[in-house]
Amino acid sequence: MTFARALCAAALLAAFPALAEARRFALVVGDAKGGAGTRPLRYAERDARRMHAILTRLGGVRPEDARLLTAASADEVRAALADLSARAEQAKARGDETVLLVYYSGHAKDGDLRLGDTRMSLVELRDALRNAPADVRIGLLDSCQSGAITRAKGVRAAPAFDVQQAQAASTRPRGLVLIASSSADEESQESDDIGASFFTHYLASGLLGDADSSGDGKVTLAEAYTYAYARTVGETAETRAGAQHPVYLYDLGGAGDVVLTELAPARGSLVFPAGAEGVYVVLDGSRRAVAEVAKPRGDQRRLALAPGDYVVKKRDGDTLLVGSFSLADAPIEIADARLARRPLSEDPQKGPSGPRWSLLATGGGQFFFDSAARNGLFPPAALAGAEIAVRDDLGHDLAWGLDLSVGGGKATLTLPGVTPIPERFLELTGGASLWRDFPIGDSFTLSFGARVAFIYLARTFDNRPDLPSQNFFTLTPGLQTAFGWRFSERWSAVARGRVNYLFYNVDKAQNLGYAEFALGVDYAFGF
Amino acid sequence: MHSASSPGLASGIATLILASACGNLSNDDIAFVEAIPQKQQLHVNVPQGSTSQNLCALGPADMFTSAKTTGVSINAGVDAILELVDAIRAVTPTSRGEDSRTWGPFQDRDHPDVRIKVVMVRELDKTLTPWRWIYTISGAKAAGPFLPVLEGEFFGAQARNGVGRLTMHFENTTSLGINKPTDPTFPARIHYDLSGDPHTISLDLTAGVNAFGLISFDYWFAGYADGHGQFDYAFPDPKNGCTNFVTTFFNAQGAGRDVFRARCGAITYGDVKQCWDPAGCLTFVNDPFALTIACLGIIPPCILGSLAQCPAGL
Repeated sequence: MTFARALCAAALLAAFPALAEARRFALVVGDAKGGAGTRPLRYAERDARRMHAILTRLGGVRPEDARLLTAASADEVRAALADLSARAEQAKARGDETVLLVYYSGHAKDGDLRLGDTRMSLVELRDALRNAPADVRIGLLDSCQSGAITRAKGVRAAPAFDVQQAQAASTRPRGLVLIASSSADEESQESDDIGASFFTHYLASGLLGDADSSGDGKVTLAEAYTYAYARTVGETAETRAGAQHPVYLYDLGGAGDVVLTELAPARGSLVFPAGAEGVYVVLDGSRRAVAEVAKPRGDQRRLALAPGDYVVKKRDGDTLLVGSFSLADAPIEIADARLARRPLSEDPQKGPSGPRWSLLATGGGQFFFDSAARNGLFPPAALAGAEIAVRDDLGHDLAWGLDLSVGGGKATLTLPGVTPIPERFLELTGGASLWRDFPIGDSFTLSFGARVAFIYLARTFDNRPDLPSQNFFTLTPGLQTAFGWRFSERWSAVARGRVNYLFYNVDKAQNLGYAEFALGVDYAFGF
Repeated sequence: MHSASSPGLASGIATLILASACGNLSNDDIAFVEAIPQKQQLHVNVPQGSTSQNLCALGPADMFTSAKTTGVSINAGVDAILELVDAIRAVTPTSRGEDSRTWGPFQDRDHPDVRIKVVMVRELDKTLTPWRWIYTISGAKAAGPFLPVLEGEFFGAQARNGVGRLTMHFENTTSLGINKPTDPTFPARIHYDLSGDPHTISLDLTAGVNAFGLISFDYWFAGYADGHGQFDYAFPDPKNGCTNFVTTFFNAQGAGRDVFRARCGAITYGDVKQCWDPAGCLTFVNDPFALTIACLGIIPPCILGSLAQCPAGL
């Protein structure tokens, strides 16, 4: 810790209210859907849950003073905001210092927050916060073009608050702070690698402790913003959409900054000692990122995480350092020596969005390559089926699925010297597939994978009751490819082809191959 | 370790896939079954004609009536023989060779101490087309040797239009104790030719005395596609103790004619000729010895009706 920072921290400790002295209210909103003209966001609701958990655990917000809204309408947001404002007014009347924080993760476009098919203008939100009775009102917006909310005045696309100016005042801070994840003409980006929006991920990491540059165990608004700004700009600089610049409107009067989280009450923590250096990613029990620590050599950092099992990983050249830790009441020191070295291919981090389920309905056909096999044994068949698929469960862009198809048809069995025998056949096939998706632009996906299936065939001879019915069952491994076109938020058209191997052993041992072709529509349940 | 386990895993998966294949989906099984005759294919089909015989001027065609009853008895005999063959159709072969199928051995359902085995073999010509099928149903009691119960041979691709023969060894079913009380105790042979027009079927019961209510005779039936045919048969005449040997010709409508001889002890009488109409009424009788019912009381030779009333073309 530098001397200046230490001095600053000491000053802040002396001047700022502790969390326990202020009554804090939080409205946390996450909405993946933004109505017509928008694509569903994958991580907006998860971001909201993360922020809600941090604010109630470390941010001094009592559970009864917090509202978490997901997939809510604009009216529901207005109602919740009005309710919290009223509660803040009551608390203030009792003499409490009050803080009202609104966090929003979702779509924003053309000056409006998009809450499903409903809208709430940025101006309305800003005015609601400005007029709210709390002493300090904070708006944190993680959405595209959300910087428009700061246009009214004081917009500063700058790396940090001017804390020193605030310290000059003699009273506690009062006023309005608006922080937006991107400027008015920028897109806010989500990352499949980290499983969150960039801004919220780094804001959360900062609030958990990595932004505590002063080392006083408190993360202030200024620290959190400074940290989130730097990490967001740095990590988005190389993305296809380009660097994303958070902005803020700062209209605080009184003295100093606002403490957003306090690390001291946290029961346990991961401690990164002074000797540690590099970017450490902390994964939760489901192997998804919950925090990052960008650790320079020399400082000690602490992440105040909830008790639980965590995996810490750090990229070190062409390898990974990975360690598993069970966090309880006592702090755990994370030193490189405690991490095991693994190849990059054994990255424990999962597809970040969590499993994405979808249901595919298909219609198609099946065709054996061998003409002799097509004669009665395995005639061309029509198939209708369904497949339940799970994406990003085993890894990013990896998917697995279970499918089942039924079909059949009519054919004619031709034997030398024998009158052709009409037959009717039934087929049931199902399998388990594993494939990798290769997105092509925003709307198209090409995939390749493998499948192990069973196939059951039964045939009867309608006009020949004297002939016995027959059946056959076996396992068939195969390869598959598919091309998908997403034509709406949840619907995609899919063309799929498979080639399979089948071992036939009744008349004689034969290695057979067959192809399946299908067209279908896919419905995605979640994002 | 890793590189050593991968081939093992792959081998295990391959074994699982190969071992999982099961079922009876087989074109060859169908081909084998198609070479086995069905009961109705080997039935004697004598037109039933009318039943209003009491109104006949010259009397009913009693010989034709006996043809129909004899045909029913023959069909019962054929069914008794083919009953065993039919059982093969419903059962999946126990083992398959490239040109053979084997069923069993398995316990006979009604006789647990008897094991039954069926072997069917085919022979292919130069073009790999089956031309001959041989099948044997055999049975064994306890640890004894397998005795042929039924032997069959067939030429062609499908029984419905091929040539074949069957021998039912009732002498062996008797020794195995799997016979029915009404079964004969001597071999019964069926020869059939369904390859052209007419279809011919014969039931040879000459190896013994009586079977299926029929006397010892080589019964022969020819049926044409248009419904007309010929039936050679024999039956005992209870009225006079003679045995009648009859050759019957009939058309699809049930009209017909016959020629028969009656063997009474050491003397044979004949030939008696009769014609009848579709109603089963005699239209012409030429009975040199006045043996028939229509000629009772008439001084021989007995000639009734007109030869012109006989059905044309027979």
